[in-house]
Amino acid sequence: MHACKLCGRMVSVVLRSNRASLPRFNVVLNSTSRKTSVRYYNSTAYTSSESMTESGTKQKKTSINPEEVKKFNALASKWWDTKGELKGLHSMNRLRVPLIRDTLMKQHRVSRKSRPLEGLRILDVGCGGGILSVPLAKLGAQVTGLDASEEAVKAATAHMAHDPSLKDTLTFTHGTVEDLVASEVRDYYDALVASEVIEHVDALDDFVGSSCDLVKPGGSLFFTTINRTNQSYYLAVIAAEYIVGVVPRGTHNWNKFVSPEELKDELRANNCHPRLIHGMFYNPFLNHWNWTGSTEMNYALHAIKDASEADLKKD
Amino acid sequence: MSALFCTTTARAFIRSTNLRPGTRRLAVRTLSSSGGEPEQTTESAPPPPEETWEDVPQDFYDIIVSGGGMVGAAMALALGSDPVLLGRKILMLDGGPRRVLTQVPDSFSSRVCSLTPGTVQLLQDIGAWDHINKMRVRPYKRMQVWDACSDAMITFDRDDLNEDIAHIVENDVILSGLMQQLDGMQGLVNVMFDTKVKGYKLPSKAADGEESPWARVILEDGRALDTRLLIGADGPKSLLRQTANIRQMSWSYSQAGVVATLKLSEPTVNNVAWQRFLPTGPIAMLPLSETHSNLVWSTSAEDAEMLLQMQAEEFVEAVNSAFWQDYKREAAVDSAVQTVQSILSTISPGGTSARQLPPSVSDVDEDSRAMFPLGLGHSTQYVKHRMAIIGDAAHRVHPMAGQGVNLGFGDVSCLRQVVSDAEAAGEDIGSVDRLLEYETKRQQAVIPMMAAIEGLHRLYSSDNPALVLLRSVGLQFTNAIKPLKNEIMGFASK
Repeated sequence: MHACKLCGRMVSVVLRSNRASLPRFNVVLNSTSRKTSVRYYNSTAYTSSESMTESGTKQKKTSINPEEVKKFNALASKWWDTKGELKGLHSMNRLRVPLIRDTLMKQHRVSRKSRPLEGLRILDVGCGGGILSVPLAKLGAQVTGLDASEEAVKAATAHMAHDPSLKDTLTFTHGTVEDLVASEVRDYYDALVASEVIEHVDALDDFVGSSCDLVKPGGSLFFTTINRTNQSYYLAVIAAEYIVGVVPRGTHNWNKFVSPEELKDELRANNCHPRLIHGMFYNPFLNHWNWTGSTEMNYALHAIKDASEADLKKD
Repeated sequence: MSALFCTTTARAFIRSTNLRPGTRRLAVRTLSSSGGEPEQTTESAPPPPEETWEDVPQDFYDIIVSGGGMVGAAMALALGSDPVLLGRKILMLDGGPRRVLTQVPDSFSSRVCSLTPGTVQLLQDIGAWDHINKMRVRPYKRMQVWDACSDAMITFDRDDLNEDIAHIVENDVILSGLMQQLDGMQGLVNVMFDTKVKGYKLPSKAADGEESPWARVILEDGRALDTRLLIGADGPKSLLRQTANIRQMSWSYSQAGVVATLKLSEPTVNNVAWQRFLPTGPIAMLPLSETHSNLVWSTSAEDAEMLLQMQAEEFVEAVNSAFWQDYKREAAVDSAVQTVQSILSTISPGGTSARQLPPSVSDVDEDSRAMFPLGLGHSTQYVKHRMAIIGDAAHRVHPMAGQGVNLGFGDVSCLRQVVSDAEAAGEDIGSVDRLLEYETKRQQAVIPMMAAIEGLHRLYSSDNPALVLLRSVGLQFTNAIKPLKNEIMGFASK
């Protein structure tokens, strides 16, 4: 098994819940035999299509040895090197953090400028090393970072360890949205963020369905992803990965890119209503993201879950 | 549960890697310059003991401003009054005692500043201007600058003397106003006086890019304070700048500035600032009240010494003649200047005003005479990971244009905005990526200003007839072109 270089996704469906602040998860901790749904997180270069079922509940080894620690540090540094491989994700914060912040501030009528997201629960799906989770936590939100890659979660936890102010507001969990749903988390989060995630997901309908389940009625969902167009093939795959080299090769599978219409349809099917869609454009030479009129390449989408309790979910 | 144990052990191991010799020690050592030289030790910064980050119990602040002078206090106040930073722990520390004027003394202090409208706006925004205004300020409406070696002159004013162009305020008053406002901000801004700093420790952004721990201030009394962002407002000999091994381009002029409080022969409206360029250096008279003005005379170091030693009458005579006396002229220059003058008056009649003479001086206040060395300094960098320098620590200019402290206040405005933006975006406020915006913006403002002042200094330091001719004609033309003058005023008013 190998991790996708960009997002560290692997096939791993074991839930690693580790925080007392989310009591519902304790159910999963102790279970050893439960139905796990198989989720493929594929990238073209890495043909990891194993499915892990009951045997997949491996207990996290508690004896951390220095080799592993070295690896955590190395991983942590990969994620948090703002000029490294993942610099595009760091610079994307200049767009997505204000988007999430301002949308939620407006939604919840917050006028306070300091720690404006205080009191809100946010789930960052596919958090990786926590690049987006940390700023949201710093803005006051209770953030849970969720990632299917254990290494990513460890790296994220290691990185935030030295900052005492994040201790109570930020936690990282190894797992998937389906795991959370399976452990009966429902209508829990004020906002769910899936940034640069859905283009790596196999079954979009299940993913969106589970995501919508997890969000409170009236809560928000934020997605950023890449559109499936000719332009995105040439620019986001060929140019980015092979010519300019700002994205590691094999990161993206163009067939998995999601068009805004597809995403909107999925959301509506789950009683979530798209409210905003806006194109994003990356300048690789300046490492700078801009909002743009065209959604041909990257785009961000904000949807709100119906406030009514009509939770007619397909099972 | 098992994972919770995991996390704590992970944390412990992360910390323990700090203690592992050979690796984390690098982070403990102060930043080295690109050449990789070892840290230079100066008398004021003995090599700190090799402690690890965890050994010493430390207080933690989000931002520490080191230096409680005008610029440092303004910085702390600006950060404390920013709504985005509400709740952050901010500290200002200074090695000296707290200086507040309980009441405004009858006599004037001879250290004054000319505050531009931009600075006044900042002081209003941070709530200090009311205190300052209540104490003592002197707005002025016009500035006349002329040459000793020719008849050329230039005047700056706005809207035909209907608007102030700047304010003269004593340094003590400015500082008092800032302190009074800080007093009202307890809980938002912590202040420590009589707190001498022994040294600083800056984290290096480790080669593997891992976000490193905090910047540390080590006090003389042994305490250590950790912070996300360390701002150095500690003057031209900044210890923080030296610790960070930031190279500074600097030289001292062979000039010194003499300051004094002058009593005018007779009361006058006194809303004009005067500056005459002598071959030895500019002499300026700045209004303080209807009866008193402030003197700033930049001259050679020896002359400065002599001026301080003189009796009061002698001194007064020296000042008066410096402003009034006719210096030797070159006939060629004079006729050229006259020709230009007549050309200009035909092109824009009434556009060039007649040269006026400053009020005469009758006395100098006792014990008000002082001198200070003049120099230029500019740091190649203003920021590094988790630190930034502002004010004289970053740049130092000749007083002739009255810009020095205003540049410092400009730094305060800019850095506050940058830190606020970073905090509003959930970023690490000490991250050099964001701090570089401050450096870029300020260097774009400071470097042209420094170049202009330095240029003027060199241009007016000689009595070479060719240069005199050049600068005189240049000055005359500039004086006649109102839009150009407005540009210059705008440039100098930020």
